[in-house]
Amino acid sequence: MSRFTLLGLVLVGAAAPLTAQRPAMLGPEVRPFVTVDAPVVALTHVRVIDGTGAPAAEDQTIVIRDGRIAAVGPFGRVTVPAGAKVLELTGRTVIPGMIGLHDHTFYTTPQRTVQSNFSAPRLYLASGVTTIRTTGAISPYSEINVRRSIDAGTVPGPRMYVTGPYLTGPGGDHAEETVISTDAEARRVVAYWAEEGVQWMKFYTGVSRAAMKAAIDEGHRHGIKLTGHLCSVSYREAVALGIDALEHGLLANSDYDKARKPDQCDPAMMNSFMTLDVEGPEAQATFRDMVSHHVSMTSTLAVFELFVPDRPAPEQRALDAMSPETRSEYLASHDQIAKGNGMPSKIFTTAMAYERAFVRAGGLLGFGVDPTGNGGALFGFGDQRNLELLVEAGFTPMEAFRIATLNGAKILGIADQLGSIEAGKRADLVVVAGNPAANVGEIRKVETVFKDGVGYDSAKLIESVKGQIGIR
Amino acid sequence: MRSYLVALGLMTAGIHSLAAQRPTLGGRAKAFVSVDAPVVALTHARVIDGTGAAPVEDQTVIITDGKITALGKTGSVSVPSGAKEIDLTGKSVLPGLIGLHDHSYYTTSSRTVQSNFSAPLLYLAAGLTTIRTTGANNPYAELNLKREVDAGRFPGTRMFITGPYLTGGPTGSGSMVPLNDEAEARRVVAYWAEEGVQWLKFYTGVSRAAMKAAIDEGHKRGLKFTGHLCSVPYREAVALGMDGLEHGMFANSDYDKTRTPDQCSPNMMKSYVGLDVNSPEVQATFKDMTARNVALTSTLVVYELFVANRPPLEQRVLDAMSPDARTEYLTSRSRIAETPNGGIPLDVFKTGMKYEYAFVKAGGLLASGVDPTGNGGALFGFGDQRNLELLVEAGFTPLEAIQIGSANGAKALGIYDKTGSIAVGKLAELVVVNGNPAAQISDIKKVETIFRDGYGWDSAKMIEAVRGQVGVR
Repeated sequence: MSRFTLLGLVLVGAAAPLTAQRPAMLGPEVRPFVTVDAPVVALTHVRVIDGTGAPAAEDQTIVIRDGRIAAVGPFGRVTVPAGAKVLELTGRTVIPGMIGLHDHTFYTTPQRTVQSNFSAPRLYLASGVTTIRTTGAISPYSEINVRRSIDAGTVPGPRMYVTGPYLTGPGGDHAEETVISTDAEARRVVAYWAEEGVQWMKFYTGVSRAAMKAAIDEGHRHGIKLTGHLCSVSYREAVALGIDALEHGLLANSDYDKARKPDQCDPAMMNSFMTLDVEGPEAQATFRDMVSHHVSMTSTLAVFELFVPDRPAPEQRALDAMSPETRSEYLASHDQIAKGNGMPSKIFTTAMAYERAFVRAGGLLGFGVDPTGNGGALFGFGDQRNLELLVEAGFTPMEAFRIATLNGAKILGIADQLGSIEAGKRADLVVVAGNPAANVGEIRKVETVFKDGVGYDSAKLIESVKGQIGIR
Repeated sequence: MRSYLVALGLMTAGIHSLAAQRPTLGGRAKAFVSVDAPVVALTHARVIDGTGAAPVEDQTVIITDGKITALGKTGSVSVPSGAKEIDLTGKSVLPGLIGLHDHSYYTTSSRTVQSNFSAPLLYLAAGLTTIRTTGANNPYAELNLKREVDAGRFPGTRMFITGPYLTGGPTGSGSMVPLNDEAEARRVVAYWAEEGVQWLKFYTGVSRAAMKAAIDEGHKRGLKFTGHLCSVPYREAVALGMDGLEHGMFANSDYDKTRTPDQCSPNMMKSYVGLDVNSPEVQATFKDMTARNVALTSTLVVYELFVANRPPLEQRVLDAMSPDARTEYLTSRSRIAETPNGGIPLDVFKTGMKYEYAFVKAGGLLASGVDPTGNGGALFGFGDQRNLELLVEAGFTPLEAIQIGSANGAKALGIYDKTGSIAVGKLAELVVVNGNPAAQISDIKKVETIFRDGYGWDSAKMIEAVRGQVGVR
């Protein structure tokens, strides 16, 4: 991996994903969105949800110095340094920057697939998602270039963990995936993208166990991790092969499909979810394997919800962000599904129960949006919706926030730096004009998003992508 | 969660075997076939054979299992019993066109759209039977599309896949790969060679050192290279071993006195103002290219989009676009028309035309392509046809333009022994045109049927399928 310098600053490579940004580095495309750029900032009289699952604490002070959290504690007990820029945040809440683990930089409707180098980074950041794992790239070079641009301060956006191209098998339908049919091919593809600087790879629904094994072995030798949206390989098989994470909760697990054949994706997998008992021995066996092998799971309820009749009501802010044609495509699909052409709601509620049971069994659950499906779950907005769905699934709001913050940091291996509000960590903080501890839906009221201590204007970022979703 | 509907089994992937010349077609391909017979006789046709030779009237062409097995005066060529006979009185048969700058993606000023649906359909519908993609926005998508087309699961042309754009560092833009050192250049080239691309393309920021390493690595692996250049002028690129050069004059920094090595100068376009194509410096470029057999691709059609009030608006082009894409194109077009010097001055455009004419007169191999980018007015296939019109405007005869659009492309790709002209023994890659493009080049737009892979494909039906889809998919 090559390194390069610009203005004397070493920019990011695969080995240094946690580049800090100072306002002086930020370019003309970024600066208009910056509202807070002081070296020392104090957020006072604010409610703090720290991301660890601890109860919300009222009337706190957070001191940010040089991009890091210098102090956090009750107002009066934490000294506000002289010269600090003070933001009085009475009635507001601060949460850690969210960590979205299924946060593609592309978007789909039933008609289109759009690499969204413009709108994706802006909307993620605007929504309070300060770190994303892209979890499957249709244009890996675009993602690598966007990551470089964000880290160089020339494009506004979150910290990115780039995932290489989708790795699948020879059968089935291929759009932008790459097929790995042999061990040698698997190793060649993984080695190449590791050297290009991706940090994760993702398997897709048609991969064989043999190719998966070779890819995991090669990836681990290069220090990259692998996750999967599976079907042809069941979760327990994938865990045994050394996979690091699994996507989509229950809905990509063929462990329970009695009719399936090895290495084949059977579309009838969905039927096996209709009768699944999440407390039964089969589901618990999956969880036991995952927990003992430290394999995390990603909740993407927000994208599956799009296929459940009468869920969710389209949000005006999402419709506004879409281009007119894109909006028509999404709404037409939404209407079709409302007429009953979707996923049985029983499967969806079982999927919710599955994620709770996984956590009760000791599993590490992260979350993300997956801005695909019929186009109703947007970058960032959908991550917020997923948080709401976790609460609907039965998690407490504090548990849901931990899943969206600290758990994500643990899965990415950066919990020493990010994921919770603690002195010494990076100042990735989200100011919310409301109390999402009481009403998780208030997570939508993001005002200011701090990344490495630089505050960005959420409303202005959202305004800048109006009508652009589905185009760029 | 990309393909939830697929997971539900609402779509099916077929399994097909490959016949020698006539692949078994899948349903999505078969729907566009209008002639499905192992032996076909095209009778009473005007044949324009692609070599530049004058049209020959009242010909019969026999197609057997996708090959041309007989050709001659109707009546003197025996029509095999059982052949499907098609009377083409008043119509012309041309070789399938070969587009050398025929991306599988599309852009407007706002969007970049990988178009695995509309690109293959429109290219084939417009009479293209071979394309070189000449820069992939999404190489895996192209490789997958090529597999689909080759297996007969989707209509389309033969594809010469070009890997990702190779440019300079440190940060690539869009989906381009920045090559920061020789090792990286070799690694990227080696990988995409093994993935199955046949060409690679350099872009405006590449350095000479990276270009040299990439070409060396690629040639060892049988790959060829072309470039949309700026940082490296044509003569330097030719010396480094380049196989093709794109965009005629419009990407050549040979004539920019202000340029510094390995840098893309913003003054390159200005260097074309008043350029004399017969001057020693231009002739020196041509001499280097012809001596090293480096082909040049004409893409006048994409540059024309930036000339005020050009090209004439075509309804079929607007109909193919999605409403939003159409608005974006028309808005850009108006802006160019309204802004003084907002685009490319007409005289610079005309110099670009003269340059291509002079290149051919100097013995150069000129081919044609569309480049369906820019502000979105040059579409897959339709734009290739328009480029032939522009070649005639540039001074070539219609027969020369057709030769550039067929035989020359085949030569540049190294497949002239198999296709690119109409001759017995060659593949029956043929276009039936309802008119006489040798007399009037604009008749090239009246494509009715395209023969490829032993089937006749229905142009109108493919164009209809794409209606409103350009800019979406």
